[in-house]
Amino acid sequence: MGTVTIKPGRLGGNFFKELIEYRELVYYFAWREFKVRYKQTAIGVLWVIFQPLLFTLVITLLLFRGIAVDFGNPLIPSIIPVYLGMLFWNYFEQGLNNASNSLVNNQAIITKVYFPRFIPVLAAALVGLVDFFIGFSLLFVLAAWYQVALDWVGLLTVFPLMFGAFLLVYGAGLLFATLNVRFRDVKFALPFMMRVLLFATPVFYPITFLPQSVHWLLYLNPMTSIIELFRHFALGLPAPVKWEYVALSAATLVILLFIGTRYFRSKERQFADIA
Amino acid sequence: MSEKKEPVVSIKGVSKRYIIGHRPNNSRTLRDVMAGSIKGLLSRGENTRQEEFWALRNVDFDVYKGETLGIIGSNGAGKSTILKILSRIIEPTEGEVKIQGRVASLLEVGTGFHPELTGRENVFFNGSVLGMSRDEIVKRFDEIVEFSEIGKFIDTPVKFYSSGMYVRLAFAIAAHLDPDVLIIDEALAVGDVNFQQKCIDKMRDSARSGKTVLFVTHSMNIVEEICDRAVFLKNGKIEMIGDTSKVVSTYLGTTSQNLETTWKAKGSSYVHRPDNPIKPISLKLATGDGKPFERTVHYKEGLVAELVVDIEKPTTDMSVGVSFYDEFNNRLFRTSQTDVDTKDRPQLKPGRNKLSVELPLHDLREGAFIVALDCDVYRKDWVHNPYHTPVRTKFFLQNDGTKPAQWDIEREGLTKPILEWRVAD
Repeated sequence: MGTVTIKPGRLGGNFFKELIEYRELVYYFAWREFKVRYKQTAIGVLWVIFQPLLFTLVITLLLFRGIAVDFGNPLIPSIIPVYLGMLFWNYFEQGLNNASNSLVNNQAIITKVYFPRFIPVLAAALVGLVDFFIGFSLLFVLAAWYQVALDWVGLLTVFPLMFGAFLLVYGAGLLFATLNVRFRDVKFALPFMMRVLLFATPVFYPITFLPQSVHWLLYLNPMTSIIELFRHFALGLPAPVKWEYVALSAATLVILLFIGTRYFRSKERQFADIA
Repeated sequence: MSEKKEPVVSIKGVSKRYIIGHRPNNSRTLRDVMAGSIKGLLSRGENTRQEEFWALRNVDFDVYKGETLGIIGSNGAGKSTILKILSRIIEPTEGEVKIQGRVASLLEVGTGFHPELTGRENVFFNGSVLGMSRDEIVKRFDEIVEFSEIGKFIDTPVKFYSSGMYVRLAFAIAAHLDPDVLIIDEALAVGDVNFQQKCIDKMRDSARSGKTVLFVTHSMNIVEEICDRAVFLKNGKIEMIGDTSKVVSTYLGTTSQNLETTWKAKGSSYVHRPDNPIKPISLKLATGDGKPFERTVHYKEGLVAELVVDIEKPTTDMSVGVSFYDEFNNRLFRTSQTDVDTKDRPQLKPGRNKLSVELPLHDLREGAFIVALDCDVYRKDWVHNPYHTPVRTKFFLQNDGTKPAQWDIEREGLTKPILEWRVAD
């Protein structure tokens, strides 16, 4: 029979130990979020495909009539790299948004039951992966339709790349979720920040669309590397010009994860007091 | 009762401080923080009106295995705070708590219930939040549904449930937790009477099967019914801890409303009408040996009512006395100097009269009682109607003496006399 000791400064234990102990609760949080999201919708989970697809069609069929965008391979219709970009972006935007609101939205539970506080944030970052991979399956349909050859080995890079995206959403999510408990400004600032970032990330255009002098700025967002690398490995589009830029992305990711975790750890003991 | 061994829950010197005033406990915007820090800089901390508030101060107690402990106290006494600390939701500012074994806390029924999810889905999520493993939920699922009396609606979204169904399902989940230590806050104050009884029975079973239960409630009946010991918290400190009935009576004695053992005409709003032949001056309660007391008296101390009245022209058909009510305005009896034959009565004098009478207490149940002036002239109108007169006093009677050890609840009935029983040879 284990002993629980409660004293100042002791709430919040070892992350991996708690992750194992509470793995089922992580699953149930993610499961609940997934279930609730598509309740009382007519087409349910199909929204996961429709959203990025409709956006992609608008961009490629309308916007690209006026602007010449070259993804670097004339054999690949731009709809495919744009759809991919949107898929990754959707995971990032919705994942971060849900993660940032996860503590506030679960305030009622947080003030009534103890469980490690990172769980709602982690679950929000995880449940987006399900959406992502459902949407990802449409890639094969598009590739068959447009008779585009996919690099089957390159496709596997989706796993490490999405792991990177997941760490990004989790790390930044911890940071914003913690801020959100204290400062509800996050709720207003985040969607705005996301809208700006959408244009400052090569989501529906290749990074080569912009002059090389500003590339480093875009690579500060790890999503730039993730999208560009996957387009390169899976579709054979040009690789990033400078690999240092990818390292820059990786550095941002690590720093965000570190800051997010530290800030969260320093505040999680007070959530129930100030929520 | 329980042999004193290692405590299952050990609370040592626990305090919880909140800063109130300047630091709001709700969401505050970035703007406020910036404005606040600028103000702080300008005023150099002069008017940072940060006020400390100790929700708990130096609380110590142990709870032993298989014990059911009630925590009582008025609002703001720190009851919920201590439960939240024990549940690990908030952390103490000082002190230390040690808990042996698996803890489940129920500070609310239906924590995390989502209206869009079905009963079945909510059972799984809620069960998991409360600390059940998936296997346990699967294993107990049928029992939970049966206990909740939800039946076929288990696959309906809970937003279509009546509030009764919602609560029943929520409690059913909670009742099937299997922790070593169960922490409960007012969770029983919901549902219909039958279901409440079912819940109480279930909790009693838990306690009998060796679980340790900590329980906060405002219902003294429930505390007396299921708790072995009780803690009385007042302003964040332990006022008393011990045998449930003693603690409950002390608590009731200090919190009963409007307890006032002295009434005086002087300074009160009482207006004496000139046509009223009996003018009340004062009504005081004292113990059997004449000592005045405040609020509470123990039945062993006895009770005397002292009445001072001015009567210009006393007559033999005047009766001066008191009526004795419980706090729900049920009159237990009325008594006056005319209760006995004319020759045995004390005679009223013209002018000031001081009367006193010893009132019987030992048969009465514990609670608050009212003693009100009761005067009339035989076969005429009321002189002082005890139902309406402002001349009244209220006190709290402590009576734990007629509860033998083998009884774990109070005897039912308006009074509880000790009578002499005989069995024929």
